[in-house]
Amino acid sequence: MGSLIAAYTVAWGVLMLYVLTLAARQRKLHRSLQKLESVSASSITTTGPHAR
Amino acid sequence: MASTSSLRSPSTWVFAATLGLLIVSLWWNLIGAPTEATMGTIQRIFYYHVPSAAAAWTALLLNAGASLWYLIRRSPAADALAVAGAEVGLAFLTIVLITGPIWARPVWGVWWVWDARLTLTLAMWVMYASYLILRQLTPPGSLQPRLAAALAVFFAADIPIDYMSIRWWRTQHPSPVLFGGPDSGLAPRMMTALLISMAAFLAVMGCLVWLRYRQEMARGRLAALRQRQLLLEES
Repeated sequence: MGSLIAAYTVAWGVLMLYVLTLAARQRKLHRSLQKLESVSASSITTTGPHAR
Repeated sequence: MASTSSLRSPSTWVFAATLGLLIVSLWWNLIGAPTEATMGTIQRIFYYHVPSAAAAWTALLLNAGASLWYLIRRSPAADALAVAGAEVGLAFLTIVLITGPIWARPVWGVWWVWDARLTLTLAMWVMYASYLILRQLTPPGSLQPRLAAALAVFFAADIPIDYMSIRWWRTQHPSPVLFGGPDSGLAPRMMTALLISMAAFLAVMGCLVWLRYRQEMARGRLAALRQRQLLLEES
């Protein structure tokens, strides 16, 4: 019974770990996109027609 | 509004159906299938071990197909699918390589033997791990996906050999229960449990490959945007 529990826990554990890794990468991508958006927004304001 | 539309998207329903299928398969694996006469409850590891292998091979075949497509067409989508297939395939291979020895220890008396199937599966894990490490270590550019694609097509030769190994060489690993000739097979309720588990694992594999593929495509677009930003800043 112990071996069965161990095997099923490993299978679910590996899958959950992979899903968590995907979620972490997604957050990192989102942060990079936000950073890029803020940089491009600031460059537009400093070089755009309303820039002083 | 955004949350309502995301709930209506087909992928949400596919993910929910996959989770449902996993729960149904868990019931069949633990309760629905009868206990095997000689091995007892340990045999139920089989319902996770075999479908994990099927999911791993399918994901790695996707990797091979996408890599071949990349070599022919140089499509970034094919490269993204190749990465997704390799990563998800490696995750399922890890499950196969851990659940196998957990079953073997009480049944064979040893954790591991250098049997053809076990050795080829371990070699496959090492090959795809090195493929992913190579992708991480080499700088992104036109040569990196080409080199990875060529390696992936070469590595894919291990998939049919690994699948056929228990048919070609009769060593320690149990003989096949699916497509294994007249002597193979399972009791009807055991076969139902195996097929439901197989469907659930293949569905999970499909969802993970889809998610990883979309992530890789987004990463590529972000890298292109960053490069354009740098060029704008320089000019």
